[in-house]
Amino acid sequence: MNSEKNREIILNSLKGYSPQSELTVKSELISTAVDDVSALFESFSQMIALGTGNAYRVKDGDEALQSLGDILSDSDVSSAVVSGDAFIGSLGVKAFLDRKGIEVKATGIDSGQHKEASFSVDVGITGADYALADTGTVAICHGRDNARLLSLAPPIHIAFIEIGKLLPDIDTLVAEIKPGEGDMPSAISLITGPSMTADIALQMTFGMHGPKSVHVIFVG
Amino acid sequence: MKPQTDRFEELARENLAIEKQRSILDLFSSILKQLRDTAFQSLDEDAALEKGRRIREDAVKNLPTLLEIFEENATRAGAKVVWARDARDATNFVVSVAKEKGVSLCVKGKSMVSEEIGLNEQLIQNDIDAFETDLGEFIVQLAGRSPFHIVGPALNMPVDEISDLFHEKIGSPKTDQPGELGMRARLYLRDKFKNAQLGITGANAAVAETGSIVLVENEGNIRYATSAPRTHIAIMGIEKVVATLSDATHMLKLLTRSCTGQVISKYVSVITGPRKEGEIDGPEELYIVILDNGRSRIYADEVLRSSLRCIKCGLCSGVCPVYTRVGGYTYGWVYSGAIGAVLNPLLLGLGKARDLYHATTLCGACNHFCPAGVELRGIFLDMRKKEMEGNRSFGAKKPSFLSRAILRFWTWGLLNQALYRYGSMALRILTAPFVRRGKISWLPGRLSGWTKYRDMPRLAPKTFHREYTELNK
Repeated sequence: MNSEKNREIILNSLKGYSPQSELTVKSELISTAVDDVSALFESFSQMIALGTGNAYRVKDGDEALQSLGDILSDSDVSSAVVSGDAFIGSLGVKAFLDRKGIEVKATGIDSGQHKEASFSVDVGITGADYALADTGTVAICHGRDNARLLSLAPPIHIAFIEIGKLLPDIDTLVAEIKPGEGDMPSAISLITGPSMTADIALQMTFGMHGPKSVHVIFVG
Repeated sequence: MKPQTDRFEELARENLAIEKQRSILDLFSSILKQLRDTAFQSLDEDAALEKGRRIREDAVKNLPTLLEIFEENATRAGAKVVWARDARDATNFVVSVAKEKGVSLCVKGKSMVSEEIGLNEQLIQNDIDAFETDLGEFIVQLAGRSPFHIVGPALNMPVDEISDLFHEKIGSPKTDQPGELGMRARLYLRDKFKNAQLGITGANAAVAETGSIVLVENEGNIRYATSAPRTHIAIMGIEKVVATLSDATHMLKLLTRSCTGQVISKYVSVITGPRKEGEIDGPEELYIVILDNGRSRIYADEVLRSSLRCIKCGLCSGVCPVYTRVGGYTYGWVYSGAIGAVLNPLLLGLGKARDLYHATTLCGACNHFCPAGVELRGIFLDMRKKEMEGNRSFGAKKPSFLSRAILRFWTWGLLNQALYRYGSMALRILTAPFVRRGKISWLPGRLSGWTKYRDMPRLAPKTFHREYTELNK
């Protein structure tokens, strides 16, 4: 197959029928003003609950860890992977897990070990870059400190996020990301509660391939 | 997958007789409509649909330019963009990459376009294990069937049938719980996700502005396919590109609402290039295959072009009075429902799938609900016109001499007032002997073709014209 030649043929054929008008390729940046964080959080928790996800709002780091402790003791957890996200670091999550006797498996050394760890632990703890109130969604911009499998392979996913990153909707998210200005992350995942399927007899089942339970803790 | 689009009549009869399937289809269409309407309440429905239709219209209008910009930006982000003119180009490319990388196991995300090019068969023939990982597709693959619905490939299969299938093929204990079956598939596929060297997906949208592809799913299998293996190949039809990320997110709102009645799917991935330096997961290499496979020929036709606006939400199946009776298998190939009656004939040749675009009531429900502005009804009529004209470039087979002669005669009669008046008088007399209980259900000889599937009402004793004139005397 000659991709270069195919390209010419396909594009030339299309161009014969395309108007070739002026075209601007620039996202519409609609930013919805945020004035009431409590209302946004209220909407977020309602929406994520529709898909059996959980949302919490805590005042500070101490309460955040306490909330983490409650979730963990409810779900019989013995091992975890934790992302290298700066916010997670500042909360002292790893030390907290150590104190609780929960093994934190290293994920940052090589891809094989990272996969092995992510597929074997009970819980993945990550930060999140944004949250969307109108759908109950968290957005993770994956990168060096935010690996993709941490929020996917373990059966429980717990995400910590500063309340200031709670946005009204996906339009505001696009405005925040500013596509076309600077590099995009290699992957952005929008996650709305646990994974789901209705492929058998139209019956909703949670925890298909991804996590069976998702907890989002807002701090601040 | 070998097309069976020439067996429409036979398949329709078979499928209509399956009671369980009929009741699932009834349930499916009523649930879908309710969920869809509820999900649209959080938007200004009319405005959002209008905007979406405009986005897709503009994208298709500017297709070559957007593809070039997409290619440039995707390449800048580190993806390798490859152009394929037909199914063979695309499958050869995927197989060659797989062989070059020594791939023995590959995981696939749900992708209609990969069904269209018969990718699985090619991979398996080349000793590469290719697993469908979407639960519905996984079931369909184990059963060796074709997808029953664009979005719900196995929605027609009763639980006990799937339980027997899983018992036989993956050794799981029998159960009547759908959730339990889902967990069996989860368990079975988890190792595959971990060990696959190649992930293959489609693309719900390609964004010219950023060179990204957008993937929409509920299960998480696509996230695995784009996170765990070292190589990711995404295959997209040329029509998938939109101008901007904001266009893509707007279409996302309409897609999930129309598709499953969700305000957003559980997962949306926006992928821009392979993993960057210092990242521990995500593919080291990302290939994006841009596939034509007959689409540029469709593009060249002004009426048919609107079919390229389709975003494969599948809503036109759920609202179609034909699909909701005969089900997906009857369409005989990859695409089913109203859009299947458009795409199968256009991609395979009108002559090979002529029953599909004739078996429509032209009620226009598909048009009415389509979030992308595909003019399905106009296309059905246009395909029939092309058939009459014996249009070669779309593979039409000219109808028989008799039917052409009758239609020509009919047209001639309709265009002349006197002929119409005396013609209808003559027809009333000629058809009178065949009227039974007010209907004509049988005509003799070669005319029986017309009445085989249709009842004609008895012609009224007086024409409207005559009655109107008499009333106004």
